Amino acid sequence: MRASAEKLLAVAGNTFKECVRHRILNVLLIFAAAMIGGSFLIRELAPGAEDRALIDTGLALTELFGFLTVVLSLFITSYEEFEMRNIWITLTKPVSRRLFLAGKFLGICLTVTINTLLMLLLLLALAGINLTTVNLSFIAASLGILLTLYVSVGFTMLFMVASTNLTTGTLFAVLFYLIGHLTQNLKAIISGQKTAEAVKFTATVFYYILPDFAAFNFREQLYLSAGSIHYPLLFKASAYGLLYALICLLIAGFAFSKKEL
Amino acid sequence: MKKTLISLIALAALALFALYLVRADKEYGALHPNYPFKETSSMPYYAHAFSFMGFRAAVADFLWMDIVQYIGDPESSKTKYKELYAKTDNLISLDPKFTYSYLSVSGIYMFELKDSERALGLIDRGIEKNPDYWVLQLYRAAYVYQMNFNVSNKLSDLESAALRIEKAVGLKEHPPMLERTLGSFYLKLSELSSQERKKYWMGKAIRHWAKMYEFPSEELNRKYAEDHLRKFGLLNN
Repeated sequence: MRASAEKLLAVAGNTFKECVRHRILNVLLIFAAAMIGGSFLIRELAPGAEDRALIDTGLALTELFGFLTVVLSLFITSYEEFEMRNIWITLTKPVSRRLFLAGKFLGICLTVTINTLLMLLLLLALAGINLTTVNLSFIAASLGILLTLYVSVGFTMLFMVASTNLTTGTLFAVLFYLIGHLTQNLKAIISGQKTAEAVKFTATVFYYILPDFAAFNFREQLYLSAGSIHYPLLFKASAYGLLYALICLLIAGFAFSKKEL
Repeated sequence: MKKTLISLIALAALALFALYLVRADKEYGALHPNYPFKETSSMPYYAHAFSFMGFRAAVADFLWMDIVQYIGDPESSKTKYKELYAKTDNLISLDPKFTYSYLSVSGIYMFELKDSERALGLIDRGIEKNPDYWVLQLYRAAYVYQMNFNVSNKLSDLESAALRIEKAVGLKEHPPMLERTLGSFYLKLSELSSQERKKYWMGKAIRHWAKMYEFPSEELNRKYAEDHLRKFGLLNN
C-alpha cells in the first residue's frame, strides 16, 4: 500500500516537473498581461462599475486560462508519452497503467491548482491596488473554479486516452467543456411540460453523463449572497465534482489498460 | 479511416448538441422563474452564448461598457439615445443587481431627455429588485421633487419625497448626511403646511432630531440636531 502511494506520488511529481519544464506556467504571463492591461482599460471603460468589472473579468479569465492550462498540460505530456513512446520507459518499471494514470491526474491537478491560485493572487493584488472590496463569496467562487478545472482534467484525460489521436481527444474535451456549462438548459428541457417522454428520457440520460458546471458557478453569487458562503451547497458541489472526476479517472484507467501502445 | 470518420461524426453531433442547448433559453427561464439573471432575445448572440456559459456577471459588465460608449458617442445624442432603453433593458434583465445602471441611465432620461416617465420607471424597477439599496430611494425622491414641486408647488410631492428619504434612512449603509437632509425636509414641510399638518411635521422633525442627538451616526449629526433642538427651545443647557 505504502509502495503504491510512493509510486503514485513519484508519477505525480514527475508530471508536475514535466509541466514546469515545458513552461506550461507561461500561460500565467499571458493572464497577468491581460489582467494588468485590462484593469487599466476597465477603469476607463466602465465608470461606476470598475470594482465589479475587475473581479468578474478576472474570475472569468481565471477559469478560461485554467482550462487552457488543463488542455495544454495534458496535450503536451500525452504527446511525449504516446506519440514519442516515452511511456514505454515508465511502464517497464513496476508501475501499473492505472497507477500511472492516477499519478498523472494528481500531477496535472497540482499544476492547475498552483496556476489557478497564482492567478487568483494576482487578481487579489490588483483588487488591493484599485482599493476594491472583496467579500467572502470570492473564496466560494475560487473553489468553484478549481472544481470545474478538476472535473475538466478528468474528462480531458479520458478523451485523450480513449481517442484515436490527441487532437480528436482535445476537440472532444473542448466541446464537453462548452456543453458542461449548458447542462442547466438540458435540465430545463427535461422539466418542460411540453417535452415528449422519449426526449425527456434521452435528455435525462445525457444530463447524468455530462458534467454540470452550473453546480460550481459561485461567481454569480458574489452579488446575490451579500458576501456570505452557503456551506451545504459548497459541500454538495465539492462532493459532486470530486466524484465526477473520479468516475472519469476510473473509465480512463479501464480504457488505458486496454489501449495498444 | 473508419475510426476517424466515427470521431468526426461524434464531434459534429456534440457541436450541434451544444448549439441546441444554447437555444433552449425559454425552458431555462421557466425552470428558474426566481433566478435574477435573465437573457433577453435582443441581446447580441455572442453575449447570449457567453452568458449562458455561466459568465453572466462578466457579460453584464461588458454590456455596461457598451452603454457607456453609446452614451459618450456624439452620434447617439443626435438620435436622442434611441437605443439606450433597449440596451439598458438587456443589462438589467441579465443582472438586476447592477444598481449603478439604474441611477445613471435614469439621470439621462430625467435631465437630458426630460423623459421623467422612463426615468421613474427605471428607478422603480431598480427599487423592486434592490429594496435594500437606499440610493435608489433617494433618487426617486429627488426626481419626484424635481418633476413636480418646483412647477406646481404641490405639498403632496414634497411629502412623497420626504417619505422616500425616510425609507432610505431606514436602510443599512445610508450616509449620515441623509439624516440631516430628512430633518430639513420635515422642517420645510412644517413651514409650508396648514396649521393642523404643521404640528404633525414639526413633531416628526423634533422626534428625528432627538433620535439624532441621542444616537448620532456621526458627530456632525449630533451638532446639527443640538442646534435645531436649541433653536426651538427644546434643549436648554
